[in-house]
Amino acid sequence: MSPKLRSPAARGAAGGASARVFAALGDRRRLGILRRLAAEGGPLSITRISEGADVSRQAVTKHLGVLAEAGLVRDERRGRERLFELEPGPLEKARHDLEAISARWDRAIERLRRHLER
Amino acid sequence: MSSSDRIEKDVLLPVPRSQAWAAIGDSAEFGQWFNCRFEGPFEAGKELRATLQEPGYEGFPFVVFVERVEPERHLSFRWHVNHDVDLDGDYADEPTTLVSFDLEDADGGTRLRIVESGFDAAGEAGVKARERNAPGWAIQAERVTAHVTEAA
Repeated sequence: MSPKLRSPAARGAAGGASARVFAALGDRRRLGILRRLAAEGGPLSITRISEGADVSRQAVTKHLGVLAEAGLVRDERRGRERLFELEPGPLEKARHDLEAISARWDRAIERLRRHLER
Repeated sequence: MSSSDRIEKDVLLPVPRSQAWAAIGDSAEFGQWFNCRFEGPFEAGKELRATLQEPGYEGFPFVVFVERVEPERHLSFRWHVNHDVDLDGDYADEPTTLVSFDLEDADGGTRLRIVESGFDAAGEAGVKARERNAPGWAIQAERVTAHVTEAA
């Protein structure tokens, strides 16, 4: 059997980087942080990210760690500060993976319709 | 990404609910449009082996874990997210998503809702599985390093 064959469950949706992305996105607070970074369009310090959010700085730091590990944000040091910025790549890939699964279901539904017409 | 965790499809099928159910709840008929073959019927709690019948992928094996069967109403099962699961090995910790089919009477036929969910949890499980396996890789890396430095 060719190793390139993919199961019906195969969508490139998990394994490696995508799994971390899905796990990272599964938290409301982390989604909030991503939205904040997306709105800013540039790097932000932990202090700025924590501003106005009803989450402790410690929690924000922990969430940023999960996001960084998933490749959703990158950090850079500016003097004594660590700044965080959105990395669009993994988010796009996760969106693409879900769209691929969605499209597979659309095709299966079309086959179901044709099956029921017979 | 408001719904990074699920995919939902709502379909109006122009047939009575009992006919729609036959195409969903009967694993043999399900396979006819889904392009696969199951080794047995859908029964709650059962693990079913299946093979793809898709052109180009004939015989590719996979497994579903049947959750709930409510005749004329509901079918749900889990399946693996990864396509490279070794079905001859121990796949107990492999992440899965939940697929559910719900039928309701509607004007003009039957409303079918398909939901595939749990990508986030599957992602979490996948991450944890990898972290559990990580120490194994670290030991291997040490062995290689030791071997290489000895040879030097």
